[in-house]
Amino acid sequence: MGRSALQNYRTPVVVARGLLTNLTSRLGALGHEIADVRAGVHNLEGRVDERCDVLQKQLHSLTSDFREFVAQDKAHKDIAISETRLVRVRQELERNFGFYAEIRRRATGILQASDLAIVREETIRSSTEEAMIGAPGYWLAPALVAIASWMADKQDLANKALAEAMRRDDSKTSLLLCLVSRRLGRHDTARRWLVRYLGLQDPFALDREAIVLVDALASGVFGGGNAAAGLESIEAWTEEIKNRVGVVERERARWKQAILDMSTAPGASEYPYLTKHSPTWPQLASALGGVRLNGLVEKRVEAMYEGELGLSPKLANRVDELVDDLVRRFDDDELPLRREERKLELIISGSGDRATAEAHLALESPAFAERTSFVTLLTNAALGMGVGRVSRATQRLAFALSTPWVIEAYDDVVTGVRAAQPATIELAIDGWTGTTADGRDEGELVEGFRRSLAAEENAARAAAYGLGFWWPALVAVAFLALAFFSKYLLVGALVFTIVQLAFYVLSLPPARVRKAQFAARREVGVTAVEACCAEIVDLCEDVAREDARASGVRALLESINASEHVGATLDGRRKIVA
Amino acid sequence: MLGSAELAARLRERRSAAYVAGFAKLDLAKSAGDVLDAIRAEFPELTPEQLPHGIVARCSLGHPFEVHTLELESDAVTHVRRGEPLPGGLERARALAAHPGYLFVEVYPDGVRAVGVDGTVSVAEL
Repeated sequence: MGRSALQNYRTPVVVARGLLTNLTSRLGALGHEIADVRAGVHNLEGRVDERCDVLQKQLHSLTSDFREFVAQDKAHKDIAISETRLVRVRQELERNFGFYAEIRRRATGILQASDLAIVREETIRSSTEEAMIGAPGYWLAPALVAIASWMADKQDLANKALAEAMRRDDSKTSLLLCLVSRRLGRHDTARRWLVRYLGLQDPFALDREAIVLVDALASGVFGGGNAAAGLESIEAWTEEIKNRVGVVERERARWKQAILDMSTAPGASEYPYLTKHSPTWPQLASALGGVRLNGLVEKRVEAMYEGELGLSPKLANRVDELVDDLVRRFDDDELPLRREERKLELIISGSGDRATAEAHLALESPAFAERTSFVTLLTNAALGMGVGRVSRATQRLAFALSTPWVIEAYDDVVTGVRAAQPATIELAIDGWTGTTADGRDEGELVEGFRRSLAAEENAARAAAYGLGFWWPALVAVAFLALAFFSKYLLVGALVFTIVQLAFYVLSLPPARVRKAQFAARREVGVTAVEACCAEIVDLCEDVAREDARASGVRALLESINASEHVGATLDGRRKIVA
Repeated sequence: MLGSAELAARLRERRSAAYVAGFAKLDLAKSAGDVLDAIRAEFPELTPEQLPHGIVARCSLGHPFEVHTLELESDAVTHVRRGEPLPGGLERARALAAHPGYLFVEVYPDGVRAVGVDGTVSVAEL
């Protein structure tokens, strides 16, 4: 029984050996096939990933194109609406104040007609009297009657008309008479009107036409004594304002905002690796844009003080321009429509960007206030804000008078930019993060990246070849051991092992593919770290260079002296002799 | 007691030469007492809570020290190495204090005021 049992036992073993040989060879063939299938699947995965990437990019591009289209469409509609409204606003201005325009034209017309002496005094007088009837309540109509009567030597009528003009708007009438007297060469009369005008002013709540006085001083309309008196007065206003807390502070804030508004973000192509790999990039971009303001401010100021003033060589023409400005630009009734007109102009010139237009208008809004402090008036003129033109000479003088708080605003901007410079720059590349102060520790950073990737690779290898990989083999060995007791267990062990091996071979990437993937990532990552370090070094040098310009800009601002811009020269050298 | 607008205007005024000179010697000072007296003398009209709660300046002791700080509440002068955090919430003044354009930085609850060699003050709201 023992022998037979042994024979019975050996027979399945022989069969099993045959089976095992057969299965081993089949297993080898299956292994090759699985490798082929795996390669095919890997290839397919790669193609699918690639396709997904392409689709994702196309979707992203389509989304951004659509958003851009919607924004552009809205902008176009805003432009079209603004253009229509602008026409309506201008029509309304024409309808409501058109007759004023007629009278305004007569102001300089009368002065020029009297120069040429080709219009009869009677015609001038009747024309002004007609204007008086047509524009009840308007200050300019009686003022023109007064001037015409004065020229015709009709003292009583002139006095009566003058009294009425002063009752309607004392301030504008005084300034107009001052300019007309100056035009006629009556210096003493001009001085009396100037003193009267200055005496009427509250430097904390000036009418907007006070800028005409600054323009007159800047363009050399007043002779020596009157110019000195005018400058003395406006310097006194400035001192008075400086002593009241809050007024200059508002102007400083406006200048600060105006300087900050000049900032532009650096282009993405300037530092492409940092743009892509540094979470600190937004702060870096802001810091770079901030230090570049130094150069922009310098250029803006130099441009303001360079070149010719474009003034007419004839005094009469310059006074006529001022008279024209005085009568055209400063009627408060028109202000709401002028404000609306400006807003629509900003939307149109800003290509429909309503938000930017409104932000700009907020900065300009003090220029559309009925009354402002003298320093606000200077800021408006220096920044070229408000209704109508601001002459180059006025802009220079207004800026020169504003320099104390322009310098403070500039200092604050520079200090704010310096305070916001990030102390360290963070890099995030392929799962690794590192920080650097100046990018000069490239070796350490590259080493850190390599270590991080090596750790990841080790973890991937451990996951691939860990207990999870070997346990089916252990189970198979256990089955084989048990196969001594039953041929069915042997077959079961073999089938189990084959199935498990097939599963693992299919589910885990082969070691060489994994190695190649990590090698490629290492190469790309190291290149990115090195490129980021190079860009950081360049960026630090760029920031240091731009920051160093601040002292030069400050010196430039400090060198601007208001008295040098009173009684401007025509060609930048020669003072106008009135 | 000054209102907020008056206080802001007062703190923007140019610092006196004596006050500025006092800070140049902070590295050598054995105690912060002299400096604290200088601060009180510079702002006699301010209440203690309106005074800066700390001063940060570039350290002249050289490497590895970067800046030194003076905390008014504790009268403590601390020399801080590169990379070490600044005590008492004074960290926000570090970049400005290390910048050669300023002699020292006063730290207030609403921001910092950087003082130049000539005593001019510029403000960064943080």
